Amino acid sequence: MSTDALPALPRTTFLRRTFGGQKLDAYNSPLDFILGGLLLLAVIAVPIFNANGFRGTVPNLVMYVSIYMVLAVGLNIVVGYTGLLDLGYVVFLTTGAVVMSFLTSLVRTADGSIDWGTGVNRVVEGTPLFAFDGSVFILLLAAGLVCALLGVIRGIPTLRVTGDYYAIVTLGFAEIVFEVFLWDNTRPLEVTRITGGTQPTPMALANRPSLFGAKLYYDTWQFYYLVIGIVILAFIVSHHLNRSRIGRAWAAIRTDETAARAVGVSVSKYKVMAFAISGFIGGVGGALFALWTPTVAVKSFDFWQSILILCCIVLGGMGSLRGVALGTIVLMSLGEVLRQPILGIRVPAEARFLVYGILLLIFMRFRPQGFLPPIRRGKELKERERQRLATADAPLFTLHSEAEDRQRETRTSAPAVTAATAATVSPRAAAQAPDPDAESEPMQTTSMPFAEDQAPKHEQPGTRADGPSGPSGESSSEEGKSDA
Amino acid sequence: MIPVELASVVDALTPENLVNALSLGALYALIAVGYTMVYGIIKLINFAHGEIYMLGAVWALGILSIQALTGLNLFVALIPAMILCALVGMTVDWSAYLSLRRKSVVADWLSIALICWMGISAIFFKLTDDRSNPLFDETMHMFWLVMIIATPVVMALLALLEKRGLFGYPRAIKSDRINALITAIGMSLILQTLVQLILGATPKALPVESYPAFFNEQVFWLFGAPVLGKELAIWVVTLLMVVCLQWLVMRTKIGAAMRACSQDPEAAALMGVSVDKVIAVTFAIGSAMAAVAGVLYAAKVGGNIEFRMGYYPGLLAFAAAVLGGIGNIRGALLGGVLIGMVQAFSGKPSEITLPFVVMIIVLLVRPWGLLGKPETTRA
Repeated sequence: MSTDALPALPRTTFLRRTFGGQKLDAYNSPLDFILGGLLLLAVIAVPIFNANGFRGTVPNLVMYVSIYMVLAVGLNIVVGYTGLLDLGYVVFLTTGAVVMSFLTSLVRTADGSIDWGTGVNRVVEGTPLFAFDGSVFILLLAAGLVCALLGVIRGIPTLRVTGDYYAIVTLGFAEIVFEVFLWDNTRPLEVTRITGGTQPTPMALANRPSLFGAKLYYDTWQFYYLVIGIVILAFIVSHHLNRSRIGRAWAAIRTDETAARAVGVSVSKYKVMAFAISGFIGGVGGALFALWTPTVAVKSFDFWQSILILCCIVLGGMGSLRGVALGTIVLMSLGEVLRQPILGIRVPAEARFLVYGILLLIFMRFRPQGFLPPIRRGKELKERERQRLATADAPLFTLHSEAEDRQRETRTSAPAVTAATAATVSPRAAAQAPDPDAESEPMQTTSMPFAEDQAPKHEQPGTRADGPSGPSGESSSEEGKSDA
Repeated sequence: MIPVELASVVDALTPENLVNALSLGALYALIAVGYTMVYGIIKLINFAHGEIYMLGAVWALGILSIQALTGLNLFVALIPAMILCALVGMTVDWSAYLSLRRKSVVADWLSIALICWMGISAIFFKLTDDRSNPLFDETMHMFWLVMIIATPVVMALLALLEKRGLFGYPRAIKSDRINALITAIGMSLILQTLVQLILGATPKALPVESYPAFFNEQVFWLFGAPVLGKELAIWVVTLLMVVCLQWLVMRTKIGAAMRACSQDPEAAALMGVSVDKVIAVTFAIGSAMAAVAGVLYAAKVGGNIEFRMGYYPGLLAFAAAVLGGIGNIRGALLGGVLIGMVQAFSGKPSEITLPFVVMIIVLLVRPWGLLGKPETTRA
């Protein structure tokens, strides 16, 4: 069957994909762009309408949500796209923040050697190494790369095991890193000299990286727009990864790892890729967090931070970027709202986590796919796509309705079955013989693509009947031949 | 770095630490059994299990704090604590995990509503507790306390009635394992926060009068190290529990049903085993054993009863279950003892780095655990 006669599918353009809906590629809907654009405009405009400019509650909340959104996008790559549960994502937040604060504390001392100026009760005079204009990009890259490496190291032990073990190894790894970062001088390695341990020192203003001529601080426009830019970048990168060959491999791993391996997806390679990319984005998020927060308190990055980020993407919809955005905005804002007195009552701080827990339960029970699940997943093919698949050369598989299925069964398998029974039960064969003849005729004239498949089926009873000896075999083989 | 670490390990190889290691190992083994049994049947990492362990200690504290029962022996309080924890375990199963296996409209909403009500009660209990609070109110405080006690009772009753078909027999559904795991985390979060709201954040200790006389006396010497009565009590009670468990699993009808369910739940259901009932019993047994561990631990360290006490032991016990081969009861016992030893001999009792490093190494070399069987994937 030739494919020339088929109507060509329209070529996709950016505009058509966005506003016209070429549904085979529909990973996003035009609404996303409209609402996302509006949201972006609002976020950009916040400091203009805010009385204190880049200071104050609202810009701070925007920063907070944005940084967590970067983390959520990173976590989404492993949990949403690859389908592995990560319970220790906080390591990237911690490590990214620690790398950032460590590198910014590096100074060149008077005698030319490099030393770090912060730590436990340590002040070293010298010129900061990473305070030049634009150094923030180097620092972000460094934090990202360190975390990507960490992600790979963390993921490798889990390549041989499946499913829940990944969750446990990530959880254990997070606990190990959490403890190691708090090692003081009684331990073999004094890690707290780098991390600050329980008494972290704030990042000195002189050491802060600068951008466009200003030290990056939470209330500068440079930092505000840098964070927003990185959020947008993370979204674009993640979106395109998901649509690419890599994203399809991840989808295959998520749906069925064994099947993915069977069709030639290098599961280990793509998993490691996911670990690295997820770690990189997480590290960038952590580094931004270190620039935003006054002090990097390692102690505050505990297990529940991982759960918080996980909650964000579970709430919004695992594997869908719009869901990630919505979930992060709702949950992080909810956390801040619950801090404020409601109707004059100040809700106890611990009640926040109660609300998170109940939300997790409710969502898993009634809407496990989240608020805004991915559009593409679970959607049936359109009629035209189905035709195209059905009429193409040698289809691997087709999706068809149940009614079609039943029709096909009655057409094809009935003669085969009766012939097969005839092969084994000879006395009844004569009585049933006319039926297959009557039904098999229209089948051969139909132009269904499955017609070719049925030819060997018809031969089967005949060939099988050759095997068993005796009169029954002979009589049935005749029936089989008369069919064909 | 490594020689220093090695030296500290060698230094830690003392008989005192051996005694400590055996006690810790026994406790972890008791917790790990609950993990491994639940995992064996419904393939769920029951994250709330660490919280059940914590609740065991909390229940014992609650029972021993009742005025009329002052001076009650610790081991007498152990039994109601076990029963209460078994009920909590079954209620957790009903309110959180059952709706992942079955779709029953009434029960789904009812359990969520009751959990929410419990949360609201706890928040208002907290808000009305103290004169410094603007909402301070003596009678309402008592009302919310009654609610906190009554809501779980109602939930437990409903859970029992549901098994009798009160809400009709719901249809079975299949849900992703990732959903089940997230539900378990949510449940763990809820239990922890509830205890934090009700009990407060400061660690509490069991009343001293409840300790038996032999508890802090040394009973005998082991390799030159004194073994206190409480350490011996931990060993004896653990051994007793393990023997009972072994008898229950290998020799009784319900044990056979449990083994059948862990081999193939669908086939077991076809053979007439009530899988839901077996799961409930599994939760009950696991929770009772965790409760024993909680009470014994609180008695051993003489304090530390707080909302976060279940977190690290829960994690370590899970590591123990994985180490021994998850789904395998003897593996859980072995893994528990090993993790206890690793922790005690690494020098720092609060240390969890080394046990997890051991677990990750075991996963690298022998992913199915020490006593487990390699998992084969079927298409």
